[in-house]
Amino acid sequence: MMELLTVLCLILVVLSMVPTLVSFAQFVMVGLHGIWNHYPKCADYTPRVAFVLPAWNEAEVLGSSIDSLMQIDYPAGAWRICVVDDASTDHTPDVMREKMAQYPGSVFHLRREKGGQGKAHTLNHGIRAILDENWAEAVMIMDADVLFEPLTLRRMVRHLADPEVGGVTAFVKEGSTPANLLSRYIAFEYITAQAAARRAQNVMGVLACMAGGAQLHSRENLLAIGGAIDTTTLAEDTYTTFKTQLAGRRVLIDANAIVWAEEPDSVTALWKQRLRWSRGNLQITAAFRHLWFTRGRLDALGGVPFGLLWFSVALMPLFMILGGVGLVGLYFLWPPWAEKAFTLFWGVTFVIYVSETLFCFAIDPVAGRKCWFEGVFFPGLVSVAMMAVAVSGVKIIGSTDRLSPETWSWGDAAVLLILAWTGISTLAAWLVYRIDRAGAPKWLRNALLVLVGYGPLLCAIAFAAIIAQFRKADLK
Amino acid sequence: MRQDDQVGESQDSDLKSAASAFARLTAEDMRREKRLLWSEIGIAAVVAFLVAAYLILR
Repeated sequence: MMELLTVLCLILVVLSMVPTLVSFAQFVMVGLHGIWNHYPKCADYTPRVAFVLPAWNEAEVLGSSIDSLMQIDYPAGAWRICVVDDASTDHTPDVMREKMAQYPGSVFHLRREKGGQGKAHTLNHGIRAILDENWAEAVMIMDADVLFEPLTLRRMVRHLADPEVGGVTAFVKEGSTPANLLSRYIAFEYITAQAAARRAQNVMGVLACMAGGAQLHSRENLLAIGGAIDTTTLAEDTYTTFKTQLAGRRVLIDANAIVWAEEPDSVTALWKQRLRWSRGNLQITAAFRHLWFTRGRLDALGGVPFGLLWFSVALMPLFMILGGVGLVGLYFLWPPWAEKAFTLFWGVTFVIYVSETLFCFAIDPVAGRKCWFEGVFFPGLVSVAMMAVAVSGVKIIGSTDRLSPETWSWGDAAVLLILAWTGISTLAAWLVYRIDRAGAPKWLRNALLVLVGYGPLLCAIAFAAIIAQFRKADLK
Repeated sequence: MRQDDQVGESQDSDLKSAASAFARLTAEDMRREKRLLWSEIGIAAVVAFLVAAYLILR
């Protein structure tokens, strides 16, 4: 029985390494994008593009967004901006009147008198109006606070010259000014999750999500997926990405096409935003339940590699908790093996962490210079210390004897804490959120965030999403 | 030279410059992707060397 439990604990530890190994495999593929990319199929194609900006009380940022869009490098008259005002109660109509007068024939204001149904409904209002008219050959779905670089649209549309491509997304970079610890963490996260991961997905031939902040669709693609975006889930951008690929068209990221967005500036606001995203992804998981790990025509989206990638992220906290349970279980069952498993887990994690962090800095050296500290401490100071202990050869378990009430000491409690850290970090990150929500000073929040880590914070949010989705809780 | 010819030439040159701008932009982006490949190879080589050294000297 003991042997069986020991094997089970070892299996749990190995299983908990799956997300790290999958992430590493994905990073290996990023470099291959230098060989297998879509650029050879691009052409100098400049279709007429309609930008759809959903806006609800965005008067503060709307003017600058429109100004930035009107500065882009694109043939004159070949793009227009359609702001869908979701019954804003601020001075959005005044801003729009001013901008329509400033850019006649290029800026349009669609106002919904009854709003509040959500972003997807607002977008659909605009998309319907655009498709009803025969002008637009492509539609750019974006957020009102997103700023485009001058060449971003040109970089994106060139991929639509290939009729097999239905949608293209850009690299959304964090652009809060002045930057703070949290915004720099997000900036580094976006290098890993967008500039790196989505390049790898280009190589795989399947994309998990076209960012809602910059989602370019060909007119044909929008019509093929029903002329509207999904309103049944909290992740309409991911749903649209899946639908496009299931309809037989490719979806790509052009990571050299850059847009800038301001992200939440508090852990509480970040938690709310990411909880929505995570719950949306779980809804997608359920909505496409017949797709996972299937083969055949939809090889890429339903294939094993993409399935592993998807579930590694969606179920990351469960993997981490299982890892902690496995290591603690081994400590009770057979301490020498707990030491070995600990060294293996954190040693492998260390090698992958160093490789991925260095490569992220190489992918975006400008952002890397600004957020190197957040990149290094992305997993948290405690986790970095764990890795250091694992590779330094320092023994954390002194005795090879099994634990018993007679030999129990506080040292055992410390060892258990170290072994269970992968799971405990999720709880610790949740505490950082609660402390921030309680109004703790920023320095304290920042210190705790560096200690616990941004990665565990994302894990905690994913865990909260699983619980909320399981309980079918309302989204507050 | 007739005015039509001048207009035609100017449109041709606009098209050519747009095409060369596109070619430049795409070539620059392809170079960046190639650079990333070499960066990754370089980082992988260094990390592999360090891991091998660690395992041998341990």
